[in-house]
This record gives sequence, C-alpha cells and structure tokens, in this order.
Amino acid sequence: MDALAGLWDGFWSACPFEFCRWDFMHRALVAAALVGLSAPAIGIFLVQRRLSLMGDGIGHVAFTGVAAGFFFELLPLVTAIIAAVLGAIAIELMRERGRTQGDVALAVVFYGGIAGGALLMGLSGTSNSNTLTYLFGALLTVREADIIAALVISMCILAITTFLRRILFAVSYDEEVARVAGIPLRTMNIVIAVAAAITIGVTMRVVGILLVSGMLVLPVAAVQQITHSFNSTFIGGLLLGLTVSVGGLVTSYYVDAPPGATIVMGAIGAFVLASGFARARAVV
Amino acid sequence: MTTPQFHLSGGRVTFGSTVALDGVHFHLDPGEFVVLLGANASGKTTLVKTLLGLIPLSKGRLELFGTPSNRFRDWGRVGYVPQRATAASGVPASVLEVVLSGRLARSRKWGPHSKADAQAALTALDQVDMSDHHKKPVETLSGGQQQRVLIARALAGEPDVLVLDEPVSGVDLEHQESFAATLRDLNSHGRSVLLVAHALGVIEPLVGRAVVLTAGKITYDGKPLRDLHDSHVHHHPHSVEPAPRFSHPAGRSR
Repeated sequence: MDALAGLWDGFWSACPFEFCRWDFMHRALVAAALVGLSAPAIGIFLVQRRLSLMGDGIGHVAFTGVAAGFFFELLPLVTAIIAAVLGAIAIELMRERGRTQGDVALAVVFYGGIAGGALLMGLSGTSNSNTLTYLFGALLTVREADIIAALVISMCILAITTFLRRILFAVSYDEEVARVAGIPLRTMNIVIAVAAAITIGVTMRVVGILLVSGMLVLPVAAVQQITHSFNSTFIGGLLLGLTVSVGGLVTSYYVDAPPGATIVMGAIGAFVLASGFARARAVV
Repeated sequence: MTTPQFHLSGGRVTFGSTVALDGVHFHLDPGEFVVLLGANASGKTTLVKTLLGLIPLSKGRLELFGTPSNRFRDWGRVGYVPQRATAASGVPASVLEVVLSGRLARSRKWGPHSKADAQAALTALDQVDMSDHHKKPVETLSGGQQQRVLIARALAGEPDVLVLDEPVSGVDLEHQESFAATLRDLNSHGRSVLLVAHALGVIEPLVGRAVVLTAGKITYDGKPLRDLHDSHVHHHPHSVEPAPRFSHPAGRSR
C-alpha cells in the first residue's frame, strides 16, 4: 500500500502542470478518466438500440435515489445506484412489452424520478446548493471513497463490455435473431440496463444527473460518424470519452468553469467536428 | 421415417382477442423446400415466429427436431433471416461483424471470436457472393446486398434448416434471380428451406411444397400449382383449396 502511495505521489510531483499541485485535482482527474472510459463502453449499446434517452430516464430515477439517501440519512451514491438499477430494470421490462405502452411508461418514470427526488429533497430539508451538486455534478469534491467506488465499477463495466461484447452486440443488433440463437435475451437486456444504471450512478458524481446521459451517448455518437465497424466505434468511443473528460476538466481548471458542463460541451464539440469531417469526406 | 425439423400440431396463437393462427398443422422434413404463401395479415410471419419459439402458442404442440420446443436447446441447427427493411442499426457495424454474430449459437459466448468462427463467417459470405465486401459497413450496401449479409449471418451458424421471412421484398429482379440461385445451392446440399413469400416469382422451380395461409388457417398444402386463382382462397377460407394462384401484389405482411 505504501509503495502504491509512493507511486501516486511520485506521479503527481513529476507532472509539470500547475493543476497537478492540487490534491482535489488528482482525485478529480482519476474520476474523470474512469468515467470517460466506462460511460461510452456501455453507452454504445444504448446508441446501437436507438435508446439514447434511456440513460436520461435512469438518471432521473437516480435523482430520487439521491434524495432518498438524504431523507433516510444513507449514502446518496449507494441509494442512487440502487434506485437507478431498479428504475433500469423497470424501464427494460416496460420496453419489452411493446412500443406505445412503453413510451408512456417511460414518461412516467422520467417525471416520477424528478418529482420524487425534488419531493424527498424538500422533505429532508436538503439545501439547494446540495441539490445542484447532484444535478450538475461536483467533480472537485470527489473523495477517496468515491474514487475506489468508481475504480471498481469502471473495471466491472469494462470487463463486462469486453468479455460479453459479442453477445451484447448480437442482442442490441437484432433481438429476435439473438433469441433464435439461444441467447437468454431478457437476462442480457437486464445486464445492459443494470450496467448502464451503475455507470450512471458513478458518472453522476462527475457531470451531474442532468448531463449523465451525454457522457454515455455523445462520445459514441461523435465517433460513429467516421468509423466503419462496431469494434472501432467501441475503442474510439472510449478514447474520445477519456479525452473529453480529462481535457474538459483541465480546461475548466484554467477558465474557472464548472467541470461537468465543460466536459459535456467538449463532447458536443467533438460531435460537431466529426459531423463536419464525415460530410467533408462524403464530398471528396 | 425421418423426424420432421419443425412439427406443429393444432397450433393456435392469439394476440389479445385476435386469433392470429387457428388449428394449424405444419411440418418441415429434412431437405424440403417449402414456401409459405398468403395475403397480408394472413399469419405467415406469425407462423414462422411461432415455429422459432418467438411467439408462444396458446394451444397446440410444437416440436423441433423431435424435441418439444420448451426443451429444445440446439439452436445452432436453425438459421433465421427475419423480415427487415435494412441491416443498419444505431452504430456502424461491418459486414463481418454482423455475420459473426450469427455464429453465437455454435461457438462460445464470451471473449473474442475464434479462428473457426471467422472462417465460417467468411465461408457464409462466400456462399452469398459477398466475401469481397466483408470489411464494409453494412449500412453503405444496397438493399439486396444487405439482405444477402443477413442470409450469410444465418448461414454462419451452419444450420440444418434455413427460415427466411420475405427475403426478396424490395429486391430488384436481377438480384432475386441470383438469390434464387443461392437458395438452390443451399437446398441442394441437403439443407431444408422454409421461405415466406408474397408470390412464388423466381423461386418457383425450387419449391417442393407450398403452404397457403388464409386468415390464420392453412388453406392449401401441396405441390405449388400455377394458374389457380387466389380468389378461391378468399371465397372458401375454411376449406383446403386445391388451386391458389401464387402471385400477389407486392407488399409487406406481419
């Protein structure tokens, strides 16, 4: 453990940049990097099924979870993840039932999540600034426990999306054919939904509930405009996610802007650039 | 006696209060080439999805390769080409990636694909004359080419039976002919084919048996006869018709 701590300190003291001098930036950079990698890893399967807004729905439910944490005086991160997982399973089961019903049911989950959160926040007497922390993220107040949680969860997400990628691809590409291939469709759909929910729980700390879905979807949406295969989109999405989250954090340090919003704006910038590049290439 | 690959007896399927299939007896024997015909909403796709276990029976008994459907696990023996307007999805996928996803029933489910998987996928692409395109993103291909990729995906699992739901809808005549040649080749290697179609068209010479569905019931099951009017089917929907005509206006069924 001491060797690890020595390595950690050595790494940061060797870093030539000004922002490397601050402990809070060390933790923030690690959290941003982990989220930047894991959010697109699971987000690609949402984009592939054209369910980009599902992450938003899960995020809304996570807000009720955060509020429940304040209300019952438990750890908000833990209650948020529990609520997000339950919400994700509920959304997945509703989706399975068919489109029209599922659409309305999703709306109920969306608004129920925000209203429930606001209600519990109010009842528990949580201050507005605390509420804003969760809505827009609070990367600079990340603690050691958050980092460990983010590390464990990111590793799990990367392991799942790497080892089960062929099945997750098949299920997201064509549900019926996947079922005829003997793949347990519902189980795999729930694996994707739960993985997305847990990722959202951690990502929430970095960019906030309102922007969480952007971290899952935008890097993939940007990269897929110039890639030709699923695997290259996956790897490109991870690299872009890492770049915009670390780059956004560093930028926000120098221009004194909120990191979460800066990161998401960076991802949108990448999306616009990729669109332009794809269009230029189509002309040539 | 050979064991039928699909054997449905007394099949009934309902969606809410709508009866989609009623009293349907259907079997497919090894090596057969069967075409399933019928008007829009006659239950063709419903029957196919029921045979594949995608739609539950409310009554009746279904066996696959002699095994009751609820205990059937050998899905690698069945290749399915669904009715689909496009092979594109939300994220780009290369032709090879799509075809490889058809290998899952035959290979291990986790980790990267094996060399044997890649070989089988390339062989399947070769069978539909698409191996030159394996690195291209599927969404850049023409409709007919995308269709062939989806057939290759079904073939990658090396199935004993190939089930295709309206594979030539929206494909031009020239490609329909090359598609018919592909099917002939596949069928001549002992693989059975069950094909849903709106009309016999170019595949007519290949078909060994035609089954006609009318309003959820089988109204004809026998040799594919020409020159018979489908109006007969409409006039006598509950009797087994000797003489359906196999040309219908183009359109899609559910």
